[in-house]
Amino acid sequence: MTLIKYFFAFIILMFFSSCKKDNHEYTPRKEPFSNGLLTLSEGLFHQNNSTLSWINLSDNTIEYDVFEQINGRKIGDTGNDMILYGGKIYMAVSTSSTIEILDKSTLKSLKHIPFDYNNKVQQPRYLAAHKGNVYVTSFDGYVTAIDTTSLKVTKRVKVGRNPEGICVYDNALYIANSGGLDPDNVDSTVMKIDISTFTVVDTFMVGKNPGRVIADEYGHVYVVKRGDYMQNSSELVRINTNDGTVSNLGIPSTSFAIRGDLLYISFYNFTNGTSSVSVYNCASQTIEIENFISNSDIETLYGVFPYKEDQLICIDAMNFTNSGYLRFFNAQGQLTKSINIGLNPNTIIHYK
Amino acid sequence: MLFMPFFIYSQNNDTIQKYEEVIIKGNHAKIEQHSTLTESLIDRLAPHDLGTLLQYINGITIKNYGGIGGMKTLSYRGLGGEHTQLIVDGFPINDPQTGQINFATIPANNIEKVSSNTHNNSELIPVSGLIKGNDVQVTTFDQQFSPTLLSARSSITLGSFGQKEAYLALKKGGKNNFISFSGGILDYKGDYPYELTTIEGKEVKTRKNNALHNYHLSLSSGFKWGKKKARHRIKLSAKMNYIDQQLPGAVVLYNELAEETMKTKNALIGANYALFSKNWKLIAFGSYTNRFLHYHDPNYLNIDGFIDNQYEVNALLGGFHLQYKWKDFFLQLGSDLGYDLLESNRNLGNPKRLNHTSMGKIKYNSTYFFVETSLFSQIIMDDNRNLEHQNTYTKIHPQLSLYTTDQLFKDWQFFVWYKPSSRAPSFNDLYFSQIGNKSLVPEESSQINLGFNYVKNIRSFTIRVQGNAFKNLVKNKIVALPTKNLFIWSIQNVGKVDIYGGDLNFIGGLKINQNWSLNLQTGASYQKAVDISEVSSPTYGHQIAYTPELTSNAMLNVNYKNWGIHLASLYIGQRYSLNENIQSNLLASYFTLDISGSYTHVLKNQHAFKLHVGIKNVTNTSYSFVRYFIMPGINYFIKLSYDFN
Repeated sequence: MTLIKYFFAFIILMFFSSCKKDNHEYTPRKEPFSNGLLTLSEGLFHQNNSTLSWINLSDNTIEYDVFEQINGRKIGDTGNDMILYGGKIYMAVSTSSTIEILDKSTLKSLKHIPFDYNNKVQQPRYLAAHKGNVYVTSFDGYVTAIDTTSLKVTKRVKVGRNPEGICVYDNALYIANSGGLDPDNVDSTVMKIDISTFTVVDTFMVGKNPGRVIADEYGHVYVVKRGDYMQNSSELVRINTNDGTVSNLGIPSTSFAIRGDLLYISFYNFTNGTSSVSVYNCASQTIEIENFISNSDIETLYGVFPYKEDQLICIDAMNFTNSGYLRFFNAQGQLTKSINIGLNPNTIIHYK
Repeated sequence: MLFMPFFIYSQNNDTIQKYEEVIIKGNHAKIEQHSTLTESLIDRLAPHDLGTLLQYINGITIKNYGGIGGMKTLSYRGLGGEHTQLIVDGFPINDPQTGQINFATIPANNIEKVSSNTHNNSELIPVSGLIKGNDVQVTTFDQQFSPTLLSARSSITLGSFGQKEAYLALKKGGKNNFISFSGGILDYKGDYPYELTTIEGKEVKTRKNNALHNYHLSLSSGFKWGKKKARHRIKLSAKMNYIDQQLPGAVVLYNELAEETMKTKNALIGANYALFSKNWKLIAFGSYTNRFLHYHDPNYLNIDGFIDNQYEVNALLGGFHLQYKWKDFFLQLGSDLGYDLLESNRNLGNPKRLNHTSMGKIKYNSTYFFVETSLFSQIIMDDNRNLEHQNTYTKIHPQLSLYTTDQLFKDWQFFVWYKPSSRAPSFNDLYFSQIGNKSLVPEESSQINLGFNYVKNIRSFTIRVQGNAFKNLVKNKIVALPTKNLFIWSIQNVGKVDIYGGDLNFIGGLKINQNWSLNLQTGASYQKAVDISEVSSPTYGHQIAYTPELTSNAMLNVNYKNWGIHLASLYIGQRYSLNENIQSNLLASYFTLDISGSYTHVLKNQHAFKLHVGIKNVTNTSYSFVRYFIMPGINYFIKLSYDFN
């Protein structure tokens, strides 16, 4: 019977050693969120590990996964974009196919919108807001409007294949149709939607596989034409909405962000693994600074975020499978600090 | 019957098989270098498939993607599944498209023995099995000689979540020949509950899109001839397995609309020949394999609105392994030659591969030691002209081993061996659209092992303890990384992994009296497998993904007359879902316990009726080996079987 005793002792040992549980108790905060950076990290496909992190700028502390702490559940799979509009935060969670709407001050979820039309997933990708509506591109080929008062989907319009980037200029939406789910036959168009009629009114040929779009104050819409990741490289294309012309500016680009007249263009060269940021003056239409940061300060540049008056945060995705960093650069392009954050950070909101 | 686990050769009726055994000098019980599950143990575990069984072999980690039908791949001592050679009834089984076998596709109901051999020096097996990191050998009922005129195996199983299974095998045996047929059918709904935190709080969800239908057939025959001077044996085999299944995928929060399906068809025909004489032994084999896979996703958001991919691999494989005994020396020569061709409706070209492994070995048995040295040559020729790729890779690998006999240490055996090997990139690694990389070279591994065996019989008590300490190194590890952006991954030869660890296996049996007996088989394995690819990487020195440091298993059987109680437990330690060892990637350890009871009624020593009732995952543990591939909780089965002879 000794054998049996040992066996059961062994089983009990294994059972208890497998029963360790993390005990995360969250104390609700009394003060609203302020003076900090809210960062969305998309995580990896099929791991349900998108997170929101809060960086408290007054004491430089970080709360990882603040969404789960507050709401008692996870964001889901591939939080792809996040915007702040009218006291609310809107998140597009692509693989989970949901839109999550949070109160800005408390980060409590106000509404969770399943984004499936006729029982088919839509995969929301990017967001833009205008006059009481948030507009969402989704991979099923639509742009959907959400009323920011009722928090309900009100209408949708068919666009091109697998739309990605969206921006607003002069009561119109500009949508980049990537066609990225047909890698051998990608889309090449940016569509203009008149917001009043909510119909497509114009189409621009911008080059293969357009991704992000952004507008300046002079009637220009900038598009990242991602190409085919081989000979057709990722470049900045400009649509002049004043005369309808499209120009490839030939500036290597994978993402960008704007502050006043300055367009910060980030580029990760996947063939040699280098990262660079150039600064483009939208008023003069010239490159102001060609190499704003040093390549050695960053491993995989995933995006940029203008911070305060003259600083820049570069998002470092590392190798996409390790947790990423926010790299802070001063006005002279010198690295001042780095903060380790979630897996594949993609969007930052600055709380002042 | 009770001590079957300890005397493996007593399991089958094949007299030539006994003749094959290598006699280790000395007079102790035969020491096996295997970790083995025998027919009686397999029966008590009531496995769904080969993958479920292999979990109970020490050192093997099964990456388990679901219950019945969920993909199961293997990792042995931190080496990827591509470093393991599966050999079923003497035929090496390969999947050149993915490089590794999905062990869920191999039915378990006709399996009589499974063994895992890291360093096989006691059997003549195809040399492609000897060059790999380890081999898993499966012996089925269908392929064994039987002296009885007719024997049969049959069972009907009903289980939770719509499991319905039937199996029948018939064998006409005789002194010098046999012919057998076996067939099985499995139907499974797979709609098991699991707990998930959603917007409604903790909810009990049901696994969807998880049904499976599986049919398998096998036809075999064998002939023996010759006299004592030289005996010959030939076995012929034809097998077919068809699986039509839904793919539930990972549980994606808030999105339960998975509708993917997969159909798999595997067929093999082959012949095995063996010659045994006083000084010569030879095995030779030839096989043709057809593997067909059809994947369909009706909801993909591309221009077609779906993905429909079909892949077909045709493979020819043949080889021999010859041994000549001269005094205390054994000289061995062997060679395997394989040809694989993949066709698909994806843009993979038409890859062809010629794979040649040859071996020369000298073994010397002295009174106190036996020592073995061998040289392997591997030649891999890839040709995919449609994608402008041709490449030839050659490699020479030496192997060395030293074993003591029990003339030196009574009841003990100590051994040390060194074994390098390489695995070729799979066709998917090389050519899969966008991610494939034609400049890949084979992944290299080396293993050094120090071990011991202890076998002791004290009256009615038998124990066997086996322990190993090992040090492995993997270079040019083939890994998938997102290199362009998160959408576009690419396969690269970038990894380097340092692995060390040890395992301990205990088998004990006790016959208390005429009516009572019990046996216990338990093992624990520790493996530290750390990434040493790049010193500056955040993952340098971190445990590689999905490699638990500690795994353990235990099986206890208590028998009273014809009644039996069977317990089987598994412990899988903490592991990480990615190479970065941080809290957010940590997956909890888990423990599962299965309990079952059986009653066997034997009529006239020929007819055995058995009722086997069991509970799996008794503690209703919610667990997943792979992140969000949630496994079933508590579930039940009842199995009625009838065996004749």
